[in-house]
Amino acid sequence: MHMPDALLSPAVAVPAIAVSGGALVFACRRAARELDDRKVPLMGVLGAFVFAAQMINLPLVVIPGVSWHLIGAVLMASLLGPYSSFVVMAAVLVIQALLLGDGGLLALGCNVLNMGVISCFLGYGIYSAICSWAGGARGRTIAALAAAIVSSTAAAVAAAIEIHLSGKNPVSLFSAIWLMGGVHFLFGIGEGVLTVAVLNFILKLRPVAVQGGAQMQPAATRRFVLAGLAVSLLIGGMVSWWASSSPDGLEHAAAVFEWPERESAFGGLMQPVEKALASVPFLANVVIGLATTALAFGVSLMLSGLAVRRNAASKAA
Amino acid sequence: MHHAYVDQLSGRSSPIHRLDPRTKIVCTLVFCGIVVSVPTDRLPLLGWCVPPLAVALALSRLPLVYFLRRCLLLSPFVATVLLLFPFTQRSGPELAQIGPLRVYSGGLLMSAGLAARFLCTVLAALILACTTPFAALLRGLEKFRVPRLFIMVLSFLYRYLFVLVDEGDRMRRARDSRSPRPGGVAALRAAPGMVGMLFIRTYDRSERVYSAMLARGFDGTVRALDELRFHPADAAALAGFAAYFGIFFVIAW
Repeated sequence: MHMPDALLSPAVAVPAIAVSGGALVFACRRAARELDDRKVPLMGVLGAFVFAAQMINLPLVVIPGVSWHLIGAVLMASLLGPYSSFVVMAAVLVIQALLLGDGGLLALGCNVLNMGVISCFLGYGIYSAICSWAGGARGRTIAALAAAIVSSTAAAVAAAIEIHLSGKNPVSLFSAIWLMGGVHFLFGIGEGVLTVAVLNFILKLRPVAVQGGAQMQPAATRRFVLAGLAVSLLIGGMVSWWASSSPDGLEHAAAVFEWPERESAFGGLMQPVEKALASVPFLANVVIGLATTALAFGVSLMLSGLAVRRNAASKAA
Repeated sequence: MHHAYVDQLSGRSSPIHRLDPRTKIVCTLVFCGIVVSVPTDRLPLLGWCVPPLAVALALSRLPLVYFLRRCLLLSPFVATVLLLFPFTQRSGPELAQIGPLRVYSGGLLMSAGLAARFLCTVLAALILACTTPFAALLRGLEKFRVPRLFIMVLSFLYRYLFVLVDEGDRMRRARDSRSPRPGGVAALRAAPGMVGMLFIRTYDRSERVYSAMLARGFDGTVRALDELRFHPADAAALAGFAAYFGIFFVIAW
């Protein structure tokens, strides 16, 4: 899902660089405040670990010959906490872009946003919320699974939206979100199962490693949730503003909405829904933009809210 | 260590290799920005982006064949987008009909534009990576106010990347030599143990690394001997780059 430069326009890439850069500076400051010197080599070497773990290819049993691998963002987030894991994942993405040509240099902003900010922070929010809500091995299993699935899907949906806003989307926004989100929902399940298994393995052999992460306090979790809500509103607002202010994009979308009769099985499947949406093109873009972002962050908001209440209750008791 | 191909060309010597990393970073980013900004309906403008690439490639004396091979490594993600465009972008005259699928010239043009932009930006990034040792790149980034913690994490990552990829390779070889049919469900069942074991070895290694650093007097900062220097060649390169694209904007844009 590493995006190359060619799929983005400067109007999307530059704000994304600003957002990811700001997040990186903020996370570095927080990580430096919370961690001692000892954790600096740990973070660097764990970045190399993520690299090596991504090179262990696993068979995709459903389709022979195709393989997949661990992404590791949720694993890192659950082990290191949100700030350090974000720094590690951002470092991995920078090295992949600089040395391997995996993802473009200008696109780094978008790639770090999707696979760093969204994967680590959203993943950690969901993981810690469910863990403090339902403790123990079962809670951890559900938490890591949910975190992997939601963050993987959200990252893919964000990538689809970014490509669409750049005007480089070959299908309609609706189809792109469904295609990218659907595929990465399935990958998220695999990622989640593997993450749970690896977490349990590490807990059994080296429990110290798991407690090393900077844990957030309930109050911090609440702030975190509010920040998540603010970001979701910002993104949703940006998407709807964009949709209303660029008639070209709308025209393009409207043209693509009219699928020829038997263009593909996928197009046929989506046709009724897309036709209904195409009758009000402005609303369609707004609804899609708001729904996708709000859905992802709403889930984390709900779960974190539950966790905060539960923590407060257990403290009062 | 057979992964050295990653950074194998940056240790050579050429006028481009000797430039300050900051010069190369700025030029590469601006170049990619220009390539991406060219609108699809004015694709011939991309022709202007070829001479700077050709000059940089010639001056850097990098092996051409190796380069073109690296460029053609498309990710499945990019390939999907390139393949979809001719069928879904319904602008321009209809060119051909393959079964139920119709190919439109507008979509084909879009695909061609994306491919050309992809080639230009990937080439530029590869030239940067293959003419600048990673440590120099990091010092350049440090000068651009990238957070120090991030720079340190990056340098550790790079230092141990090859060690850990080798470690992972050894584990994979061990798994394959013990399973009758490598790549089956057995590989899936072995995966958590492999990744978990790799993590624990990594964790222990970082403790040893930290002890070794302390033993050598590490106090929280990393010091480098050679400072970056801005040579006349850098000024010339920057001026040439700016002049070329200045003319480009005045004449062609």
